[in-house]
Amino acid sequence: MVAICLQAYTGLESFNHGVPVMQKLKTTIVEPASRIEKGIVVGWAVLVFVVIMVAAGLARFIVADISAQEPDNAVIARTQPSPDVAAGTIAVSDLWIRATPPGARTAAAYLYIRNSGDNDRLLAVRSERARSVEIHTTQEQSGMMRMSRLDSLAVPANSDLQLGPGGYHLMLVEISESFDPGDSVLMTLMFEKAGAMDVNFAVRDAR
Amino acid sequence: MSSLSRMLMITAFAAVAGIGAVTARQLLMVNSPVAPEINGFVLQQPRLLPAFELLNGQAETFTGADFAGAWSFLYFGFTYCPDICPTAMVEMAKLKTLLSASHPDLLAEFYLVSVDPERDTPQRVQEYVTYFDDNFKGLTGDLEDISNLAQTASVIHVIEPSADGVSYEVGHSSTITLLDPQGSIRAIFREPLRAATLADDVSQVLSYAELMKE
Ligand SMILES: [Cu+2]
Repeated sequence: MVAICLQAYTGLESFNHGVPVMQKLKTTIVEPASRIEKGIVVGWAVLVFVVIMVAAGLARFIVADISAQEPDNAVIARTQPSPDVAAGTIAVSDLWIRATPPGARTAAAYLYIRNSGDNDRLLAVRSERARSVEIHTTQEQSGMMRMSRLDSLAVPANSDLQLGPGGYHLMLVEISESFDPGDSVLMTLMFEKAGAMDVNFAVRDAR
Repeated sequence: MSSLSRMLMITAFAAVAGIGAVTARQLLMVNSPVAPEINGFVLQQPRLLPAFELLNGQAETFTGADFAGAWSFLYFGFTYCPDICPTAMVEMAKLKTLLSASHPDLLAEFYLVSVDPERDTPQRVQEYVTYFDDNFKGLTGDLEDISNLAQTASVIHVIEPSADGVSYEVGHSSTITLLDPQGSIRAIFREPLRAATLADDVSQVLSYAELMKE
């Protein structure tokens, strides 16, 4: 590729400083000087071909890349499970923790939140089974899946919010022991307006 | 001749050459198999892996030659990850089950390549992957070798700094890379990674690879 570019570049220089081209092309007998011109013409053809092939290849890749990008919106629940724990206008349901592989130091917890009142926020979560519990979101950023910690999670008035795999989740950091299927894990959810809620998460084998 | 008409001539020539090239490409394409549309990328030319040296779950040296003989599925991730990696591993385990039903004669191996070798020792990776499937394999090693391999698989990864330096996160592309039995990349599957879609896509890539042999 580099070699071809150089050749083409040299060709351009010759076009600008060399003898008139048109005249040479008209002659039927090829003289040594016009052989160089022919070389230049071939060089150009090769360059243009290569550029087009590369552009076509890139366009294909870029188009495929863009079309495959999906907006990473908040996971909106398709089903609406019936709430089983309520504090004022906040109700939570389908609370579960992914059973952990052996040796795991982290775990993820998921739930469904329904807010039938004014705007509220999940401010913090605590559990005795982890050093800390963080509110996370998983997002695709510049081709990478990245979890980022949120200071709080808005639960707008009269809306539902699903925390689920691949989206919002509660991350239990430095867990004290493994979470096994059948375990029930007590956690405290702190809402700005609804206050503290003690809730139990069921540990599920999600394999 | 003026420099303007010379430029015009060059432009005209380039246009003609361009149209010719596109036409030639179209004509050539008719005879070569068309890459299938999948949720990801099918490579028209198998991509060779760079030289690398990693460690398997038994802390033995593992090189590119060890991919030979079977189709290999690579997921780049890390065991400290509570959400996206386990989800991907579960889907990969389901994919393995689907493929063993649809392609009983296919030799396939499934790997988690750690992008967090600091925390992921061979032993740690091994106990993690075998939780999802008894035959899954883990790879870890020097970050430099991992990065070389990841880069060739178009995987980006970055360690996100944390306050305590222990509970850091690792951002990474969540894809499955498919290597052929010669150890070259043939396809890259991307999110959402769902076993049923993956199984269909793999099947198409295998057929395409078969056509390319002819
Ligand atoms: Cu997380």
